[in-house]
Amino acid sequence: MTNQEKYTNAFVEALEISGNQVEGLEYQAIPEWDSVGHMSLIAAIEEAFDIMMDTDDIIDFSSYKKGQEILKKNYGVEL
Amino acid sequence: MQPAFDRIKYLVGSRKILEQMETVPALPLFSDKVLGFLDCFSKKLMENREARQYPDVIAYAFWIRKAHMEQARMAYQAGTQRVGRGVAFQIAPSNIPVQFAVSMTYALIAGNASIVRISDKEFEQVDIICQTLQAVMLDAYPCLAPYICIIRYAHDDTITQLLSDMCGVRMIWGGNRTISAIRKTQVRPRCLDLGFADRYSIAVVDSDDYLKQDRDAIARDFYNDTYFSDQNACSSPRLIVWTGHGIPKAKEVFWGALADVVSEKYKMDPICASEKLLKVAVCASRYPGVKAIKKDNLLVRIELPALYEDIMGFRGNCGFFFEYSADKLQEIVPILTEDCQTIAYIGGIEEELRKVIADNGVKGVDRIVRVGHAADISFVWDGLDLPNVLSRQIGNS
Repeated sequence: MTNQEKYTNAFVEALEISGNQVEGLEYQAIPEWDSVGHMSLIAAIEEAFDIMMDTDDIIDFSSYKKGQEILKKNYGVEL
Repeated sequence: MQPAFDRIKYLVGSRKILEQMETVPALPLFSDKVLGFLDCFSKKLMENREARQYPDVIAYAFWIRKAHMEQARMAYQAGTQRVGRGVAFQIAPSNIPVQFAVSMTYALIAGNASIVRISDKEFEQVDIICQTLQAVMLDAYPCLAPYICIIRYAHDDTITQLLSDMCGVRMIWGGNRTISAIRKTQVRPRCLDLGFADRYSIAVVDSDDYLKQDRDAIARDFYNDTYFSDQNACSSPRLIVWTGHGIPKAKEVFWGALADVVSEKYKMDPICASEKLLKVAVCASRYPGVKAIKKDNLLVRIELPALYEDIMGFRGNCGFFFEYSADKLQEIVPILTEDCQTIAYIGGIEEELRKVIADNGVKGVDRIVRVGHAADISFVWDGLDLPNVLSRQIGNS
């Protein structure tokens, strides 16, 4: 699985949504990505890339796109 | 064999495990065994559909996730310097459903075997956590089974005494009355006897900074700090102190935004509703000069003309708030008694708050956190750094 696939997959599994829903998705835009969904999502992403995210990054992780930027910039994940 | 143990109900563990608990080896701080177990437990809770209905259960699962615990292990520099104290006997509180699991986690990461007595109050969260815990131990971590018993028993000094005789740490969560009642039973001479007493918390808002922020996000955060637990948590603010120049406008916006969240999310218990009405009346007669402001009974505000020294002894729940407009932050000093636990703040006033506390030799205030974080689970609680307090340090030359 490519990193991009892993990333998308974390959204699909943690939020229980379909793959074509993730592009452009923002926090709180759908009922599944609420504060509870956010915790599942962060845990899934940490697991997928074997990283530990800082609290500030967990708070800043406000969209599908923003998440990609955070992973690239702060955790050296190539996406 | 202790016949009194027949009167115990085991939610996790068994009588045999309980009777042998004193003989299990203490573990190092943040041991591989415990961290592996918490990782597995976290995943099972996160994928449990029932658990997902409860933000507090998921918040607990998130706190014990692998990445967070590994970060903590590094921060505590857990090596071979620290080991557990033996058995930690814990009396969990009845007001916060997941606190028993948090308490158990403190005990385990510090290297102790864990006996947790939970209250008779039925919570769905308790059942979900205990069932998942039992399953994880059976399927993946039988090696930790000797370390965990979660039990219920009716008030029974004989049982409490037997369990207190076994422990190296006793942790009594819950009200002051519970602490006094439990302390009638003795612990061993070296046992650490910790009481987590009744506390109160306040919020301090810089009105000018507040007006520049996202009112809906802050309303949701404040809701989680207060209404989510019906203001039953010690860490839920009960008094809001307003500072700065924009107080009238900030109050209007803040309470308006909060009322929107409350009407959307909050279901008030009928008993709570009538208690609130009664409390408004009692409060008005006890403190002449206060002004009650409410559109409906969901959100009740009591405006104080002065910060009466005994005001925090008056306890409201389920959306019952005192508020006070201060000219200077210094004015809050008299209410920062040793019973004051958390100050939740909005705006850039954290440093100023810390300075007020340090300069005035204040005996209370164990936490200063941003609004929205009052209910966060933390390794440091009531001023105690629990992984360190609950373990022994092996000193060197």
